[in-house]
Amino acid sequence: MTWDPEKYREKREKVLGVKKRGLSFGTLTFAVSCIILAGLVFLFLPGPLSYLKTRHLDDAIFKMEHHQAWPRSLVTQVAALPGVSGTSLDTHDTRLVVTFDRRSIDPETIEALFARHGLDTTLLNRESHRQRMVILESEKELENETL
Amino acid sequence: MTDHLIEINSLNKMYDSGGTGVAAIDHMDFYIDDGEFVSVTGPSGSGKSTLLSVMGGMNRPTRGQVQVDSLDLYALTPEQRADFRSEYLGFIFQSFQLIPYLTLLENVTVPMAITGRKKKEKRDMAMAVIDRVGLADKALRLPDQLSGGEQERVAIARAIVNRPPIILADEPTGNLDSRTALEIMALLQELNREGHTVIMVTHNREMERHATRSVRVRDGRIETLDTDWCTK
Repeated sequence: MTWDPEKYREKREKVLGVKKRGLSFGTLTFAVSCIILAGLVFLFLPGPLSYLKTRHLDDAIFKMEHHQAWPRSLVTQVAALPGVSGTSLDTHDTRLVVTFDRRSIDPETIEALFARHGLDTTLLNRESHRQRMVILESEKELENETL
Repeated sequence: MTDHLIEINSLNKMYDSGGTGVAAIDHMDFYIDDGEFVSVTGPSGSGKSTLLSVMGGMNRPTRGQVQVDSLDLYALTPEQRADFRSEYLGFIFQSFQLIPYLTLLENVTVPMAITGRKKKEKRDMAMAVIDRVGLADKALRLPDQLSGGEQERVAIARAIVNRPPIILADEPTGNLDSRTALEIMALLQELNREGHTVIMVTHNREMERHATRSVRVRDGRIETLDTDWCTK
């Protein structure tokens, strides 16, 4: 029978690598590298991202004289101030922690608002929001260990 | 571009024998067409098995060229040559070369290991060829639980499982009694009729008659039996 170049074309192309079977080594390596990179990003990126988001934030801790509880409506007003990104009260409602962007607002502006409402407050402390979070976290761990 | 399925051009294979070169194949030129059943005969040491291994891409010639389906075998990379063997060739050996601790079914599945086929597909294909050689009821037996003729049938099933266009058989009936040998030859003829090109090395003149053409080799050269077909 005369040789027919079309008869075994598919086999010939397989041998010559024209038709790739499955994944090539390069593709497989690329895919595995992408998975590893994605894993590393997942593991290590949240930290830097969180830093970028919170690096301008400070926490101011206010206390009311005479141990009064903070009026809820006032807390809502503070939270609505431009540059304030959060407020939280301690369990007895005597301390108010205001998280704010130091580029937009300062504790004195917040204190002025309290004064307008006739409240006698004291700024107990001002510190970096990230630093406070770290302290809170370690305090929580310590509490768990003690229990 | 070639005109034939297999073309052998100016083939030479030297072996080093105690410091002197011995030509196992000495300037051979011939071709084999698609669908032929060619027997290669000759006395012991005439170079017929060397010729078969060179044609099978397993033994690099000292000089010359082997082209199969226009592929220059020894210009291919080793990986391409392995793919070539997997795609184009089925080997049948005189000593069967079955793996003794694998069942018949597993032995036949071995050549499909690198084909990327799914497990079920491999099993179905293996069972189909086992059935084809008449051993379906013994598929789960080990080679030593089979007779010589049956082991040869397994070797044939293994050779054709990847549906290769070319079957290379080295003394396929060498270890068989004459009645079983005839059965195996009938099976090879059947495969040839189904479209496989069969190239069989044998020293048995009786078996040679089952081929459609014959090449006689002596001292590494072709002794032309029929000038119409075996030389260019």
